[in-house]
Amino acid sequence: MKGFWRLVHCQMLMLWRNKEYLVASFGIAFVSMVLFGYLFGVEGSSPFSLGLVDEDRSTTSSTLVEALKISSSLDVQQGERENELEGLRSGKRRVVMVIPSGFEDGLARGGSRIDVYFDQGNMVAATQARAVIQAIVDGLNRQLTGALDPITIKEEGITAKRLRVIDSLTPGLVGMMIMWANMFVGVRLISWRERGILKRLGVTPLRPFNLISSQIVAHVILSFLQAALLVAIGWLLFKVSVQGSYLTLSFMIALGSLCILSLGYIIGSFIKKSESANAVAMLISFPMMFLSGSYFPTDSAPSFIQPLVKLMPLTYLNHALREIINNGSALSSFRTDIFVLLAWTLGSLVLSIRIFRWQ
Amino acid sequence: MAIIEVAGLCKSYGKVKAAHEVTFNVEDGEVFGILGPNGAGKTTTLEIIEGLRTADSGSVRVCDIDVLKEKRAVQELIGVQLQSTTLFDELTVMETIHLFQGLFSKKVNLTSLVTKLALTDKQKSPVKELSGGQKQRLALALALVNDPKVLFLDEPTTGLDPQARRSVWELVQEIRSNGKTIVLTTHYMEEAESLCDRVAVMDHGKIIAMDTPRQLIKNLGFDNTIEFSIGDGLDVRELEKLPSVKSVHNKEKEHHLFTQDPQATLLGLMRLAQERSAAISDLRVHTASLEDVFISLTGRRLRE
Ligand SMILES: Nc1ncnc2c1ncn2[C@@H]1O[C@H](COP(=O)(O)OP(=O)(O)OP(=O)(O)O)[C@@H](O)[C@H]1O
Ligand SMILES: [Mg+2]
Repeated sequence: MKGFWRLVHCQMLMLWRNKEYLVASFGIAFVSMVLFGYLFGVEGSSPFSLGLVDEDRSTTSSTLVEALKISSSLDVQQGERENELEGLRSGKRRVVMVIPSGFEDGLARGGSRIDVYFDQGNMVAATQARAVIQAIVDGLNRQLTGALDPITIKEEGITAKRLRVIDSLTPGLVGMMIMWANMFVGVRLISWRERGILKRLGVTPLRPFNLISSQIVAHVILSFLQAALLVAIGWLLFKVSVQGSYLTLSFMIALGSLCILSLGYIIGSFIKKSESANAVAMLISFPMMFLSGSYFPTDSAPSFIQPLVKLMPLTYLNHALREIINNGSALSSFRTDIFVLLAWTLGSLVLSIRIFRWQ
Repeated sequence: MAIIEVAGLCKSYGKVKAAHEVTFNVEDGEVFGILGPNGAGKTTTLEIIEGLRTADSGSVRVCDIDVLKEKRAVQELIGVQLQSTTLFDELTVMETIHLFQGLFSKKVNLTSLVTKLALTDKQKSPVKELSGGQKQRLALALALVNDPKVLFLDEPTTGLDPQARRSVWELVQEIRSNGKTIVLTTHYMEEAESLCDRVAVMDHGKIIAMDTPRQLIKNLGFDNTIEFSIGDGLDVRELEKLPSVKSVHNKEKEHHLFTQDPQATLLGLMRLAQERSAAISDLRVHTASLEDVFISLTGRRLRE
C-alpha cells in the first residue's frame, strides 16, 4: 500500500513537472477566466435595458410586464415596436421583447408565444437575455398553472440576475480543465511502453492494475487541486460563488475526471504510437472544448452539429457543473448527466481493458 | 543447491530460434556468465528466467519457485538490470530509487546503496541529465533495492569506457562477496574470464559449452594462439603442417594457429613465409582465452 502511494506521488510529481500538462489544463482555463471575466463579467452585472412592447394589453400581459419590471437585473423600457427595434439596432436596447396581440387568448387555448429580439453579434448579451427572460417566463408559466405563488417569480428573477458571463463561464472552464488534464493519460501510458519503462516495471512485482490505478488516482487528485484553484480564483477575482454543495461538486469533478481518463485509455489502446495517439487526443479535445459549451452555450449551434454535442461527455459534465455551481442543484436534478458520464466511463474502461497491450 | 534451474527452454520468433533446448543450473553464490555474440539468445534466455517473456516450452525455477506459475513471487526475490534501461525522465535519481523500493516488500538502506554506487552527488539530478556510466549505476542500484537473492545483469558493461567497466567489475565482485548469486551476459571474453565462476557459451540459441573459464580453455588442448595476416603466395593448408599446431582457423586473410609450443610453430611459420616470400603482418601471440574457445567451437570470433 505504501508502494502504491509512492507511485501516486511520483506520478503527480511527473505531471506537475510536465509544463505542457499544466499549460493545457490549468493554464488555458485560468487565462480564459481572467480574460473573459474582465471583458464581459463586470458589464454583465449591471442591469441591462430591455425594450418591452405590449401589443396585447390584457391582464396576463400586464402581469408579465409587471414581473419583468420587478426584476432588478433589467432596466425595462416600455414603448412601441418600431421604436424599440430601432433602439436595439442602435445599441440602446440589449433585448426587445414583444408580447403580440392575441397573447392572452392564445394562452386560454393552450399555448402562446412571446417574440424576443436580440443582437446576434452579441452572443453574450443574447445568452444573458435568454437566461433572464426564461427565468421570468418559467415563473409566469408556473404561476398560470397555479403551481406557485407570485413571490416566487421575484426569486427566480433574482437568481437570473446573478448569472453573469463569468458565472456560467467558471463551471464550463472547470469542465474544460478536467478534459485537458485527463485526456492524455493513455498517451502517457503508451509512451512509457515505447520507452521501455513498462518493461522495466514488468520485472518488479508491480501489478499492471496497480500501475493503472495509481495513474488514475494521481490524475484525479491533480484535477481536484486545479478545480479548487480555479473555483477559488473565480471567487477571489469575480465573486463567483458555488451555490450547491461542495460534496456534490467534488463528486462531479471525480466522475468527470474518471470519464475523461477512460476515454484517454481508449485512445491509448487503439493507437500504438504515442505520437499519433497524442495527435488523436488533440483532435478530439479541440472540438470538444468548443462543442461542449465550455465557453458559450451550444443550443444555438446548427442542428447538424447537435448530435456531436449530445455525444460529448464534456457536454454533460459542463451541464452538471453549471447546475451545481450556478443553480445550487442537488444530484437528483441532473441524473441524466451522471448516467451518461457513467456509461461513457464503464464502456470505455471495459473496451480498453480488452484491447490494451503491455508489450 | 541450485538456485536457478533451467531445463529444455525453447523460444522461437518466427523462423528464428532465439533459444533452443537451453538447460543449465546456477549454484547459490555463484557468478554465472552467458557468453555469446550478438543475437545468440542471451537476452531472450535471461528475460524468460526473469518472467518477462514466456518460453514456448521448457521449465524455469528460481529459488525453487516456478517462474511460469508464480512470476511475481520470483520477481520479489530477484534484481534485474535490463540490457537497456529507460526510466522516467522527470524524476530525480533518489525519487526513482525510492519509487522502485516501494514496489518490493523487502528493502535495503537507500543511503548506503546510493553511497555504494557512487550516486550520492547525483541524488537530486533528474534522470535525463545523467551520463551513460551514471545511468548504468542507477540501473544497478534499482536492481539492488530489494536486496535480491539473485541478480541478473544483461551486458552490464557494454558501451562503457574502460574505467567505468572496471568499476562495474569491482561492484559485481563486491556484491558477490556478500553471498549473492549473479547471472550476467556479455560478449567480452575478458569480462567472462575475470568475473565468472562458470560460463555458458551460447550461439544461435544453443549452449555449445559450459564450464569454468579455466576448464573451458584447458579443454581446448592448447595453451597459445598465434594470430596473423599473410599476403598471397601461401596455401593455407600448409599452415596445418607446421610443427606443434593443434588446429587452424582461417577467415579470409586472418589466421589463427592454436599451438602447444609457440616457439616451434613460430619458427616454422617464419621459415614458410620466407620460402614463399609472403609478407606476415599483424602478428600476435597470446595465451589461449575464451575467445579461442568460441573460435574453435564456431569458427567465428565473438565480436565481428
Ligand atoms: N521480440 C522479438 N521479436 C522477434 N525476434 C526477436 C525478439 N527478441 C529477440 N529476437 C531474435 O532472437 C534472437 C536472439 O536475440 P537476443 O536478444 O536474445 O540476443 P542477444 O544474445 O541478447 O544479443 P545481443 O548481444 O545483441 O544483445 C535474435 O536473432 C533476435 O533477432
Ligand atoms: Mg542481448
